[in-house]
Amino acid sequence: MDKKYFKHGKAFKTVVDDDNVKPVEDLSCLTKENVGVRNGVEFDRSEEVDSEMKNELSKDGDFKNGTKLKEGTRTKKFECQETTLRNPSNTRTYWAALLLLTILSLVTRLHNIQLPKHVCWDETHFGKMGSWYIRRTFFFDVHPPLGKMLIGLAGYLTGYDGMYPFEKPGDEYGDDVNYVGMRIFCGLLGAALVPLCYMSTWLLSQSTLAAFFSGLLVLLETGTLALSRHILLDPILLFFIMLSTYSVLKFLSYKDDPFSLQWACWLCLTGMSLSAAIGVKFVGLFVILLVGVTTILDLWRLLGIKSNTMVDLAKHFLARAMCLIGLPVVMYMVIFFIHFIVLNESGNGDGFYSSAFQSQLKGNKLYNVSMPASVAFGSVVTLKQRRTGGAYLHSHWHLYPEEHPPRQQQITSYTHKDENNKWRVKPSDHDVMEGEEPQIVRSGDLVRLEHIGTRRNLHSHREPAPLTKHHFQLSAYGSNGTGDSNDIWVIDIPGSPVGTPIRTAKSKFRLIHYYVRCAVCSGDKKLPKWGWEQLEATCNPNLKDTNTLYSVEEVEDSRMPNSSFELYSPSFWEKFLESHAVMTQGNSNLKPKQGEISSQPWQWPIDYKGQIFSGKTHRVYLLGNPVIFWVCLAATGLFLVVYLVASVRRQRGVRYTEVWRDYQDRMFVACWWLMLGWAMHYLPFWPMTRILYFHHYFPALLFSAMMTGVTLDFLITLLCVSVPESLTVTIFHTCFGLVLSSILYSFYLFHPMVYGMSGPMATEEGSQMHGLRWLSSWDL
Amino acid sequence: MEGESRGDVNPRGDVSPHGDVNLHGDVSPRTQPEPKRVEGDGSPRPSSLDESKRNPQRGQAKPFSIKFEVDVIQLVLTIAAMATRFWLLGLPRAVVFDELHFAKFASLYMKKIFFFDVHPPLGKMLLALVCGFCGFDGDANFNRIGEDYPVTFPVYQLRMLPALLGSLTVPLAYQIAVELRLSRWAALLAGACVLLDNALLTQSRFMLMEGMMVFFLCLSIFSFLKFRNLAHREFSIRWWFWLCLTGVTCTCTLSIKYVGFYTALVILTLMIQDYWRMLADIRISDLHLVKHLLVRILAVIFMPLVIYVSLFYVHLTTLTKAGPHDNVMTSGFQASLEGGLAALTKGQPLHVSYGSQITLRLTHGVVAGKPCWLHSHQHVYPVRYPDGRGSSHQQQVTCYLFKDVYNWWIVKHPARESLVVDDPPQPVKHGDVVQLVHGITSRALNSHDVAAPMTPQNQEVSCYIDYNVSMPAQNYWRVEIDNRDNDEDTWQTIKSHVRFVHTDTRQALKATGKQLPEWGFHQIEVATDRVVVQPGTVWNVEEHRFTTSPEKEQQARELASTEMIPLKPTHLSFWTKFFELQTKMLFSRSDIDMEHKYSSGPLDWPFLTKNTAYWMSSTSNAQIHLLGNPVIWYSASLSLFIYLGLLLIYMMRRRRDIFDLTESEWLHFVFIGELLIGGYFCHYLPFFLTDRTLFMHSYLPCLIYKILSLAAVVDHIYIISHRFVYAGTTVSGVCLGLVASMVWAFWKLAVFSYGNANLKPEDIQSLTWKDTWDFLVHTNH
Repeated sequence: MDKKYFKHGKAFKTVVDDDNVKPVEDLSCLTKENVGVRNGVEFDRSEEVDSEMKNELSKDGDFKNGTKLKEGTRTKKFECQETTLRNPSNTRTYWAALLLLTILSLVTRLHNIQLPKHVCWDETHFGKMGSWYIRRTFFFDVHPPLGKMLIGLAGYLTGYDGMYPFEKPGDEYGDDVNYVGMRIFCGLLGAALVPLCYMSTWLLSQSTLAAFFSGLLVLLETGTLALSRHILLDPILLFFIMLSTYSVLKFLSYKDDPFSLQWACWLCLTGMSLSAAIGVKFVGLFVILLVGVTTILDLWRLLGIKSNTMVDLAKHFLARAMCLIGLPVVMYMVIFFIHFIVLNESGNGDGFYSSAFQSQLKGNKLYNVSMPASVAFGSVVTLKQRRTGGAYLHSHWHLYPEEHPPRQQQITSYTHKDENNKWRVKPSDHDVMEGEEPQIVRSGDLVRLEHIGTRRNLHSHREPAPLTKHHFQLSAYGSNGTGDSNDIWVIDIPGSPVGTPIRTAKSKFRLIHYYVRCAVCSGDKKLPKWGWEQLEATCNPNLKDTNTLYSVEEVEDSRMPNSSFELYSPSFWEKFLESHAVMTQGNSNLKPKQGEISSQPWQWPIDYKGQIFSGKTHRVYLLGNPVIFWVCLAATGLFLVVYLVASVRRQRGVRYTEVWRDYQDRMFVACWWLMLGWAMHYLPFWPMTRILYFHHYFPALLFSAMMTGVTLDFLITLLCVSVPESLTVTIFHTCFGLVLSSILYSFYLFHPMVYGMSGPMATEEGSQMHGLRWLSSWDL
Repeated sequence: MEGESRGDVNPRGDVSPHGDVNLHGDVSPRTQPEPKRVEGDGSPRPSSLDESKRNPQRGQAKPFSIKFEVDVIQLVLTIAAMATRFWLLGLPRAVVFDELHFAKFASLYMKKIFFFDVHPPLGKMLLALVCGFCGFDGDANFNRIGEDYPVTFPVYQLRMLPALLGSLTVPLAYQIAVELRLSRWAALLAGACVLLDNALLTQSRFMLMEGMMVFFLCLSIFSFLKFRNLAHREFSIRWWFWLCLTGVTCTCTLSIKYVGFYTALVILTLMIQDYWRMLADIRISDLHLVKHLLVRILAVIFMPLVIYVSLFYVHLTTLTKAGPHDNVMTSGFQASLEGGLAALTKGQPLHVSYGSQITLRLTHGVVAGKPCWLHSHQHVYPVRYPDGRGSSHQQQVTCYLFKDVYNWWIVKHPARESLVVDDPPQPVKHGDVVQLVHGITSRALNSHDVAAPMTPQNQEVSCYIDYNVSMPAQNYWRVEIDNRDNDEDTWQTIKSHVRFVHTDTRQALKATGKQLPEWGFHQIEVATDRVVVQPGTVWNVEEHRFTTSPEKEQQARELASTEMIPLKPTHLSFWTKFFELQTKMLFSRSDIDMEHKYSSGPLDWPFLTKNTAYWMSSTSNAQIHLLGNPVIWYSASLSLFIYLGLLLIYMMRRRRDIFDLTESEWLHFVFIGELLIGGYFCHYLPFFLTDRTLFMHSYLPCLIYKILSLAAVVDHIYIISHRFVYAGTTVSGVCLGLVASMVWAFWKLAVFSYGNANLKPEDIQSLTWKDTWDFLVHTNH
């Protein structure tokens, strides 16, 4: 390596340049400058510095010589000062490294991908759901559909017929099951992560060394590798997250050329990959936040450029709003539209959805039924609570037990369809005569509800409910349809005037007790054995509770004309909203079951514990490469220390040369941005109460790995310029070699976790992995 | 500078902590880089009230003269605050809301009985101090809200403390606004809002923590501002005083309730920011900067820590007797208290030996903080569970919530048949393998590859019955002492935290925390778990005795042999107790999801959606509710939005190089936001992440910040309004209207703070201004 380069490098260290120190009377001026830097206006600053740099480069002959060096990736970053951002092609090393990483990535991801020849871990879910797309059967999952749709598509294209049941992990794939196509699809997306990380890091740091380190860390990270080799949503999710990251950075690199074709293309691609990311899993929301913050900072930069008129700014704003908000929203809806179109046959997911929704699915009981469109006095109805997963109002021949007096007949909420869910609607003061003209039930009417099975009336009184003590007890009272004045209920349709007729399946109403002023309500509490573990039904004195809304699901009345249920078929919009409500509920219900060990966020960055993917003879264990995890952790800490020291020095008026300052600023901005990405993908898991798994950490890990690449580059450069000139080349090579070899060696040590371990467990002598169980928490 | 001259001239002028208040409306900025603020730069401050006093102060600068300065506004505010807070203070003479707890805690202090509360002790200590002054003996016999206090109970005196601190909050709010360099009128507005808020009034009239906490919170903000405004006189006595007071009051705030931590956080952040700006001044030498850093670390980190720990020292050394909450703590902690467990365990052998008879307590309680003991009884596991799984049909082993004769176990050496202690006793060491024989049924503790009844992924634990079928005994357990110093340690009574690891399967004995159904008498399930290191697997010996005269061998044993018996009662070091208590306080969560009619969530608070019932007379409709003054709550919430809106506009315009404010005005505006709006959100947002049952009184710290920011925003708008014709007058008019409606709302709702009037149902109806408010009416059913 040329000495001259480092000669110049020496000059980086120029400490307090007395002539250069600003007069400090004006403190506010200094602080203002600093606030600017910390607020992330760096984009602006680096632009200014860029032009300064160019001037300096032309002046500084020495440095020009330095840029001509071929050897070592590190000189690239200075060469690149001269090249424009969007044209890295003139640097051969850049392409060589990219090519190398891509090929290695493909090799590692696709090597022996057909193994293990059995269902691994969550393949049982996602393989199954992919099959359901091919079979067009409706199902329910807590994640949005895109990932499974793509898996289904990949399977369909590679000749998988969708008939394999994917029953449980460990099931052997038969010879006729074309599962490899789906695995290769996931593997390819997983393989794309390495070049994407490489290119993103380059865009941020303009250093091939940093980019190479990032790519290498992702390439040899065993956890990412294991995730990429199976039919899972994670490789797809990670791919779209990285694609969003890359395209937004690429978009930002065209900041000097706004509204050009490439600029617009990358902007649109960002929007599309964002919607794809959230279309796979809701975790994609975090990358949307990251891109959102980045865009706001970018707009802030534009706002600071005085040559931009308000019209320019408005154009910039609208373009971003359209491509980053409008386009993704439309695309997200299109995904759901396709989802509803493709899945048109009844399956095991029906029960999660409302009756109107179910009536759309071929093979469902409600498909194409017809029943009266409104309710008349004398009709027999079932009442379903209006919330997702709401149950039917139910009664049966059993009394409340002694400890919950009075001992009247139980009223419960029952989730299944049953004869005992049926009630007859009667006027409050008389019985319905035979042959009488049917009279429509309207809001404001006083009614009695007679239970068909036991001929007792729905009743309430000021007695505490069995579980929710501040509600009142609901009971069934009377005999053969006669009861007392506590059986009278008022029908109230909130938001509609008195006299609105009740429409089957459509109207939401409350049943309010005429005397006690409480409304029929049902929560999530399960009654004990005496109540057959059905849900508790109560009379809630808080009339505004949303759990008090009911609707009529089925009506039987021979006197009324039937109308087809088609009338109530939900629009796309309603289906879209309902499926989201169901997914949200499903997600929040994913609480760790007792005894199930939920992974905890603090364990993730330290690689505390992995996940067993396959436990048979060919064992696969999802565990991050511990060396890489710990290097990432150390790099984060080191960066913070270095940053603190550098900021204090700057605050104390220590000045650097323009070249060094520019380099340092760029590296710091890159690190902060990546750290933001890491934090946004990691910290939100801390307060989550849902069940968490180790694999939730991997989006954050990618950002962490990229940051580590940048930090390593910075640290090595710092070291090189700090030692005497004669040592710089040696030091550089030593550091580079050390990092490279230790990462490669760690991969060599831990690769059997991904490609399959066999033989005894690592705790025993003679195991393949013996001695590698560095933490006692690993189940190797 | 004005402050300096006055300090020299007037050494004895400080008559009260607030006596040296600058009486002029135009406080000059002192820390700002541009020290000049042109008076009348479009903002003539309305300081006519002080105008008359200006001249005497500057003119009569003579040595040894005693000057007596009174800030009339402050005086009026203080008197009004005292009047509202102290009026009818002793009534109702019944337990109001959480007084149930706090009055009780105070009386437990008097009786030196240990209790457990998740909040730190300072607030309760202060109440206890009052009790001490009144000579109250601590006899508090009341069990529910609304019950009358015993005649000896010093209700009035105890309520006086929160009332006094609550009254002082009013002038303090005024002073904070003054220190923030707001105009006197804006400061008056801040004081008036605190004075007229019904929620703050109610909260500080009873033995409740929030009123006191809010006082300390205000005091810490005040002293921080004082300190900050003295930056130009570093290391002066006053500078030291306010710096230390900042540290002390921050500690006090968080020692009453942990939420006070957020205020400390805000203040600390702002201090770091100031220090950071100081770094930029390269005229200051590095050494001097290090000195500043050390001083700050000493005052706001080190000193608070010392105070905090010493509060607990006092707490733990005062409360030495066993009491109702002992069960929450470990056996060791309990044994260190007088009476209770200590009485039981005093004189029992220290080292567990082969042949020892012991009871094993789960060290960290499982069910709602209750302790349980390893237990077995003759009943066996049912052959089949409802879900079709089979069991071993052997004798049940459970964890039982009560002391019982069936909780006794005998430690047996695996190789020997003897169940008595050898002479000399052979102690069990860490790593030894033992068998545990159930005392009454003589069956050994056993585990095997059968799914546990409630948690099928764990292994069943039973007492082994030999059915002569394929289930051989697997009853060896390795003793692992968790808190050992070295591997040679012996197993000690009470002190040692022990894990029992099943030797065959390497799983640990664990109480799963789940209740068994009827066949298991609703006791707690015991199983083994693969994860050895977890809180549920830690046990300790609580009661321990040596077999004195086994039936077979009629030899009495010499038990009183030397070091085997602890002569002194168990003594835990302060730090052990401190850390145990801290862990329990910070990490104990009540498993019971308490549903309360008057609980509310963070979203209900900013716009006063809900109220909390505190007390209701048993005979009339007189009632006390925690209910804010809606005018104040709404306008203050609005001020937050106005501030954020203004900030955004200013920032965007500055970005376009349009400077609406001078640099110092801008920095001041930002600082106000950082302190007040930052403080507000620091106190408010974390509540969205807590899953406890919350009540509206948690919002009161936010309310203080909100009120101060209202004053700041009004002040700011008033200044900028002078750029527009008539705008100033309009703003003044609006403010007057605002204050008038505050007074009116305060007057109307005051009945719910004092609970002094028997309201008619229609009165209550007319006062229910929002549908969501829920007042009580006696019905004659």
